[in-house]
Amino acid sequence: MTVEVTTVYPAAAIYTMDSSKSTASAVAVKGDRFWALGSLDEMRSITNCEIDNTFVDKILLPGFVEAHSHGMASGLWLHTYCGFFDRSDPDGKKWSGCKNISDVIERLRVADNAIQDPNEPLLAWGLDPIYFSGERLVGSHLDLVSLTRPIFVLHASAHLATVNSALMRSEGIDAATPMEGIPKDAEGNPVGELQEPAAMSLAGSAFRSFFGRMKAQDTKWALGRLANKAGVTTLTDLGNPSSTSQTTIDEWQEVVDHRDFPARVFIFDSPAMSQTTATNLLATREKSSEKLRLGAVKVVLDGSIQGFTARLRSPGYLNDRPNGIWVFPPEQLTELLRPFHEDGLLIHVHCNGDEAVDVFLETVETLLSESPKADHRYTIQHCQLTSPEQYERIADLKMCVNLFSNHTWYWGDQHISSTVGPDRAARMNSARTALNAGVPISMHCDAPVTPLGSLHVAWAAINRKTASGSVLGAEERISVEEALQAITLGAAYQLKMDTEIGSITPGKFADLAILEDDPYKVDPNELRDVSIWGTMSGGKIFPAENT
Amino acid sequence: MSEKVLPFTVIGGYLGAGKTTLINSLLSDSTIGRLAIVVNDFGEINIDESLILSHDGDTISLTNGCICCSLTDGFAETLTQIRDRSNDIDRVIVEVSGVGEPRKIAQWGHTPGYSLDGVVVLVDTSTVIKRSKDSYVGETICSQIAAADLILLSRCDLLEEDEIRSVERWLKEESSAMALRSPISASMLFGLEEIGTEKNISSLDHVSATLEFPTPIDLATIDIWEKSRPSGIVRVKGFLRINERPENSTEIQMCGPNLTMRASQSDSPTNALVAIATPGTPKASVTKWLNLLSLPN
Ligand SMILES: [Zn+2]
Ligand SMILES: [Zn+2]
Ligand SMILES: [Zn+2]
Repeated sequence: MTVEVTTVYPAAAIYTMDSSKSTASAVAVKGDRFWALGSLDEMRSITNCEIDNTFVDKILLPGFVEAHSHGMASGLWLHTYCGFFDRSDPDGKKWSGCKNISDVIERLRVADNAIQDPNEPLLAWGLDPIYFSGERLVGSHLDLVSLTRPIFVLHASAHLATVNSALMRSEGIDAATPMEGIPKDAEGNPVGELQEPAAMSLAGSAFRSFFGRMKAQDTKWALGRLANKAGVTTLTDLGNPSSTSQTTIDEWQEVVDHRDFPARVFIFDSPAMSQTTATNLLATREKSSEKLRLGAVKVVLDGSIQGFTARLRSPGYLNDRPNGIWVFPPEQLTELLRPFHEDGLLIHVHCNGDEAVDVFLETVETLLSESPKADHRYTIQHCQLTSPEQYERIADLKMCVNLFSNHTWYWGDQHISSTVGPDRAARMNSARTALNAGVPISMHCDAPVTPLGSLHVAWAAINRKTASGSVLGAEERISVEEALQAITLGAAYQLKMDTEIGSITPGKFADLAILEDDPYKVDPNELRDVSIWGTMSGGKIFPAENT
Repeated sequence: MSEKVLPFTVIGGYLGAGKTTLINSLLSDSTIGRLAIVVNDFGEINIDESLILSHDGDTISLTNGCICCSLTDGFAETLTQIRDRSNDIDRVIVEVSGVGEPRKIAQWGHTPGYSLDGVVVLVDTSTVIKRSKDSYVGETICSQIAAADLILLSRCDLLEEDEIRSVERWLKEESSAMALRSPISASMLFGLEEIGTEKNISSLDHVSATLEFPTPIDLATIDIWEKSRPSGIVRVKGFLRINERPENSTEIQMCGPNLTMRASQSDSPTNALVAIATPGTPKASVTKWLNLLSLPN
């Protein structure tokens, strides 16, 4: 009989997130699990152990857990990035942000030159002209890139696209196009903007290949590379209406269960957008493996705050702008969730606005009074404008919140000036209030909405800085310890995976974030710049530069 | 050869307004032709296999959602699938979710291969005014009503005549759409009457009249004609030769108060319209109105 070797990894520091033993200087791994924890001397007594010095100068944390991301986060990188902020692609290449119209044109010119086939459309994403001063970017700017190749640029909001005249000519978009959402100039000709999906779909073959290419299996592998470079070892596809289809499961299993894939993926279903029943979902949950998790529910109740579509309580949006929209009818939420609740399935609901939170709280209260569940872990996703009184109620109902802390950095200035004003912007994603109320929290990036990166998410909650450099809601800042807890064990708890991941604890999966600098010793202002050496997933080492 | 264009009708309205009842009754009406119905998944439609393409996914929420929830090409794909089978289909009906925005969904009716045929919004006459003041969904209901071409009042049988009238008065303030009491005939809902097939007596459920015009018509004349529409007119459709647009014939489509004109893809040689009005509308007044188009400007 061969005895399995236990590998002991000494490290510069180990922060476990396990409250009964929070630090160590060596960790032992056997198979795919953590085996023991302590000093190197303590480890030496383990039978049949080997010492591996790979991490001797590294800092080890539990692998980061991203409890709100989307499977498509990597697919967009098949197209040219034109966003305002610097961002890294799945291969680790850093793309600088496009700060003005000429940057966008230059970026697209390079991409145009790289495409051989003159008829192949140039596809790009992430354009965020709200940050540009001066004139608005339109189709004629894109004509400076090419007069012959169709160009389709999806904006960061994903609600509109800008296209060039070659595209409009080939797809027949002209003065006579009757659809709404196609702004026209003084002569009545379309300016090259396509607003909302119906108008965007008129971009025909460019539109189809934009989304078609993102469905390739390769993008799942790229998702793993993005995760690995961010220190993330568990992430989510939060809301996939076909999660119970065997084809979908097979496609994900082929990649995620492969030993070379560096992360665990939890796929939530969206029963509001599919025919999925609780019975289906229970059966699907049984198909979970150690790395691919299935069988949970995500529902989207309202829109987004920066898109003015989240449902807000009074006083609503600035300048008496109309309230947002319901994506799912509030009156039907109880009915939709009841069977999943009865069967004890995990349920997360997207509520950006405080009015949407009220609806979800009423629903949970009803369901729990009908049929009490001791350990439901109902989670409010985003939960951005929630008031202290709502947090008390959330605590009473033993619910969790997953905050969109990156908002302060990416949209904080817009929230001050145009969505809700400085007072309510200061309480957005109020992690301090949540923790004070005793509510279990996590924080997320919602990739691809903001880049996959747990340290950035933690940094945002610790510092609450906006892109223009001011501090938004200083009273809602949390400590480094609290933030790191939220992106590890806190997120694992909301996924009901805390007995398996989220801390460096003997018996749990050996998932690690391996860092070059000590997050407790760097200036908290620089936490997001801590470099990530790579990860360990189920005992296997994945250096970031190799994946 | 010109491609077939499928009429595209949007059916909206809040929960309980009767969308499912309406769609089920359309499915059992053999005069309408073959339907492709894109349904909101939370409804209960009697799916009749081959005639209907049900949709399995994120159709309706697509236009409401944002990147994190619904960045897909799902609805465009559904429309492509339907267009690929356009030889087996005569008409497309899209049911909007109870909180969906019919105006946004209607824009898909301008996709190549389709022709927007109208936005029908149902209201539950017995509850609509009360619900329009609900703090959660009041604005949603009002904006659906404002987006309609035709409003259908359901559950009128639960109310007294004066109660219905007061709802009708209220709707006039909320929307420029024409409000009709349910049920109405498929002819009125879709303007099924073809030019030249006009029955010589007015039927019980609607009144219709056709008129052929000997010469091309000026845009200014159409403008005057449109503004003098008599109250009972529900729909007008047909093709006109317009002086300012000599290249092709123009397709005319009126649903409630809203007139759409677009270059005809089927290059029909006709220069004629059919108008459909509510039962009880004097046919003479309908014909007289159509006749305004033949008057010299
Ligand atoms: Zn969301
Ligand atoms: Zn999301
Ligand atoms: Zn969203």
